Amino acid sequence: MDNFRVLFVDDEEELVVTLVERLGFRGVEAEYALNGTVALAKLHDAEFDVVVLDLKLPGMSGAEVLGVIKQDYPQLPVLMITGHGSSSETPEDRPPGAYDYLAKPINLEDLMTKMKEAIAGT
Amino acid sequence: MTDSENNDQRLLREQGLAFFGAITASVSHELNNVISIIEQTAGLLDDLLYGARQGRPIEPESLQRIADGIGKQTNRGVGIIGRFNTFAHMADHPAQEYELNQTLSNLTGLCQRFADMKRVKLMTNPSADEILMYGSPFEVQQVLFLCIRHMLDNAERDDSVSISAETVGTEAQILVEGPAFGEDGKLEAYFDLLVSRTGGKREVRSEGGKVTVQIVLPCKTE
Repeated sequence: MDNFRVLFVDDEEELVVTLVERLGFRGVEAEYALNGTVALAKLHDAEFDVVVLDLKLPGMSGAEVLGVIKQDYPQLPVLMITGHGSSSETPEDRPPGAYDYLAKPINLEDLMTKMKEAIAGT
Repeated sequence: MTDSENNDQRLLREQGLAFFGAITASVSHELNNVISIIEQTAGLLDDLLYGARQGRPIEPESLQRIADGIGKQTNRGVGIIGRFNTFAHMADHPAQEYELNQTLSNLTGLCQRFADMKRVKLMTNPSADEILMYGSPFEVQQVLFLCIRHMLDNAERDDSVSISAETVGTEAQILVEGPAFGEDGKLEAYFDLLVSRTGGKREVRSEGGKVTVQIVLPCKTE
């Protein structure tokens, strides 16, 4: 199943633009938002199958956005992107409610696998 | 050493490490973003090459965009590492000669990410002439970072924090202006301790929800 819709939420525009383009080559429809406010507006206006959400965002934090998504779209899986994947992560680094947590830099094929797993699990 | 002096030393050590840790964490996060973008851009090149082998031609504009993107992020990474390197070496010696405007500019560069997360404008207004100092640039930056962090913590979106420097006679006057932060006895005590270690004086003026912190330090004497 490759034709799903994903919303990337990250303030690094060049990163998300490139990810959207690369997923397009793989038949995946993707959009992006550079902050939580725009992300929630996009979720309100369109349907997505999975959200890939950065923990560190300007304004509303990734954790706050995750909280709103879990409340308003409880069936929508969220993959949380953290800054580091070590065992020294604190609870603040892994807010509860995400389907899984990935560390940057992300391997695209791993991300594809995780997104499909997350969607299949709903 | 008295108990009070011991407590002061411990506080300075802990807060100095916390300052270093905050800057290091921010720098590592930013560098991780730079690496992520370069990695995905290289992946995009791979995708285009794969497509070309399948008969899909590559537009020269796509290759140019990729080359430009990698160059831009590389320059960004060089800037981040340069600022961090300058910051790290400021702790090399307990006292050294340093140029104040460069120190302030480096600090605001290191703090830019904190400001961006709060959507606050962070600016430096350097003096027209260089200001030579002799002392601990690390401790001066620590004092200013304390001001900046507390202002950012109390800032609303689109607020601004500015740092300016000028010489007044044989002294350097640094002004940090931004959103007011609440009174905190422990913060005040630590602030005073830090400022006293720099050999300086400080004054705080509040008006209409804004605060101006003035720090006066002796310039380097011949």
